[in-house]
Amino acid sequence: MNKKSRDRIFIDSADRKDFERLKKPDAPLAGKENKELFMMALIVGYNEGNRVPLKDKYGFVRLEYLSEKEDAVIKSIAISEEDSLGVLLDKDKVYTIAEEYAAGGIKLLKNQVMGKRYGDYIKWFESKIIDKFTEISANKK
Amino acid sequence: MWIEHIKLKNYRQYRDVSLKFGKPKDKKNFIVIQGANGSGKTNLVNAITWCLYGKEKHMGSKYAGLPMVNTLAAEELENGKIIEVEVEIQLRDQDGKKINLKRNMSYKKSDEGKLLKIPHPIANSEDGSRLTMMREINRDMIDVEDPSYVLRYLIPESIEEYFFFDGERLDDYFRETTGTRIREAVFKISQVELLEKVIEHLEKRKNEFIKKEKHLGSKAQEIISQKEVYEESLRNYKEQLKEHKTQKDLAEQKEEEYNEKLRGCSAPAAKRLQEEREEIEKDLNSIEENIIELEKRKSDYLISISPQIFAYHALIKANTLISSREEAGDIPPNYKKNFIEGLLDKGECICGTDISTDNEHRKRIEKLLKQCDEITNISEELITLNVAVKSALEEIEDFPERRESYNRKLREYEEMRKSKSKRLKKISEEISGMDTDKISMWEEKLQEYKKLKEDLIGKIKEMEYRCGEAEKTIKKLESELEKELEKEEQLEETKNIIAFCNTCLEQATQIKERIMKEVRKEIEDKTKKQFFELIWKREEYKDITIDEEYNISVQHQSGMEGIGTMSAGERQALALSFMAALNSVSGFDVPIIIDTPLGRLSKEPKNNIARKLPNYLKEKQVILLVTDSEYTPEVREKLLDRLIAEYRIDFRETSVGNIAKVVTYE
Repeated sequence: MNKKSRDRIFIDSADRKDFERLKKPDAPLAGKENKELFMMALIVGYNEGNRVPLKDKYGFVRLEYLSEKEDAVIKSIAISEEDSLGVLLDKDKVYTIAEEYAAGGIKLLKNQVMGKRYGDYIKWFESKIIDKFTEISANKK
Repeated sequence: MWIEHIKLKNYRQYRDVSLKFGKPKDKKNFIVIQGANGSGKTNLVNAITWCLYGKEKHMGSKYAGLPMVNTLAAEELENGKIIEVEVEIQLRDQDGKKINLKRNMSYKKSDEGKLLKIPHPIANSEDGSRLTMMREINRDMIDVEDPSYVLRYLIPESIEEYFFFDGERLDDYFRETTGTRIREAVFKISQVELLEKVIEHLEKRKNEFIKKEKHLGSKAQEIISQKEVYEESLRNYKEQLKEHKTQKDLAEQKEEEYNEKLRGCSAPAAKRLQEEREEIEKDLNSIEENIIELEKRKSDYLISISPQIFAYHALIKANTLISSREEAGDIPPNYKKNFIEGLLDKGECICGTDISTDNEHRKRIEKLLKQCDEITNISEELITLNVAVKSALEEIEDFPERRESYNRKLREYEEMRKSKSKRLKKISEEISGMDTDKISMWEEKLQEYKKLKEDLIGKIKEMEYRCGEAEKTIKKLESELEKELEKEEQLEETKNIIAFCNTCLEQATQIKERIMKEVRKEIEDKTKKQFFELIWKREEYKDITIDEEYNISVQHQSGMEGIGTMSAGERQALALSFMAALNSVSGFDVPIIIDTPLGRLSKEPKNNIARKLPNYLKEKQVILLVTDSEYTPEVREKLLDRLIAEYRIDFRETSVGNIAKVVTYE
């Protein structure tokens, strides 16, 4: 991949089915865009500390579709991972880190989403966000 | 085509009635038949459908199961004698040629005084009646040998409901949240049944060819057997699905029937409670829609905020690193590293000083270069990033408040839902407890049909799921079978036949979809055109669309969407427009008969529609069956210039039954 021409985020071809599954009408994430599913897989992988290099790349999200905040999360994860702002000089590396975390998170995300009854996932997900928020607030004190 | 006259003999409340309808011309195309509730308006439509199809298609519970012979005539009939029921319709086609249809049915009064149906010796209908048809050809009236067959091409029974319709039920098309009924209407009007049959036939033949093949391997044979099992199941599921849908429609009709009875009942308390219930049901619907919408918005919010919360530490890290560079004065930098490198490469400073040699000026620039790091090259990106990071962190701070605001609103809706449901239950109990037998019985029936409808909706969903599963499995087995056949070298001919069948199947499916799409578009255009002719608040509406799922949507000028926000009168105008569109797209030149077109409307919308009604279906013969409360002097005045004929049903109850005469309106 030519670094200068990086214009999209990739997923592993082998994970494509899992991402597609999450969009099916019977899934609680039906109707969500690719970028939202990617961000969710990314945070699951990141929180699990699970980075998996991609074997066969498949273009999934065009960078121009990311919101400022989504891009900020991806860049912040790269900065935190490398413990340096210098990583931003290598755009390809920034997105590769995100892709690898997403690859490490997609299987678990699929299990979380599909392993529960339809209405239960969002409730469970909400409780996880509250836990995380509570942990953040406690650390601040 | 237009109806010239109708003659009824011994048919229900009409003992001997003849109605003459003139030819629509010079902007006159309306025929009004006015009669009180229960006087026999709907039975006029029934007489027409019985004559055409041998079925009384609009039969209410009052007459269902009773012999169709006029009760007074039956009373006067001597025991052992035979009486004949006859309905005759004379039509004129586009060229003005006569088409005469007559249906007869005989009844015998037994020695015990009971009426028994006597099938016609040369009956040509299931109910034992005989239909005859005469057509004017070369100035002669010629007997048509197979009238039912010819009728199928003139006024097909399958789309009868789009020619003869009940104004009070029109709203049903737009009350459902799915476009099922509209899809069905488009399907029928498109007349794509033939293509459906082609598809079914091709599937069957393809399977037969494969089965006949003697050189099939055992694996292929196993797949075929498996496929047959699933195909059989699919057929069963589809039949059950159809049955459930019909049952659901019936339950819905019954539910509405009992709602109507309670709405129009003589006990003021029951009437008031019924009205209150209908209001609450409307509110409940909108509360439930609001809950779904709010839950979706909350879920969208949680999904969008979650990356920020779970990446909180990373955001803090990025913010700390960038801020420290900002505090150190590195961002924004005095010079970017690549800018200084550019000067050195060029050998000339921006002030024009030569720095191409190892002179004092160049050394000063090289010193500056050493002080700069590469981060300076992305300083703008870092500044932008830090703004986004700070904003993301602020949003995290807002999380508890945002979440609570969604939850608070949801709790409010939940409370409202609970209290309204509780009130509904109470109303039902109050109505059930009323000491008038009929009212409590109606309520019981209403609740029974409501429950039945809910059960059937569940069954329909389950059956749709099963159909989907079976279809998926069949598709998978088909592709496996194709792979198996590929392996066999001797099966060249069978493979070619299958390929041919598949191509035909694909084409037939595409043609069917294309026709349905075109018809949908045409109905959309015509509904829109007719609606803007009919609606009195024209400037308030922008557009009408029927989407691919057959959901009809009406857009207000404000951009707001919603049939839900339309008044009853506006909805009736939409329904009348939709029916006119279906009628016109059907390609059949048949008069339109509307039973109680303004039925449920209050005075103002009724007058509004009446004012615009003359713009409705200018070229067609339109027969309106109206009640006295519909046909007010104001409504009549609006229609007067467009009337061909005007009748009134003179109705009286006798000790042996009801008798109706149709007289000229005065």
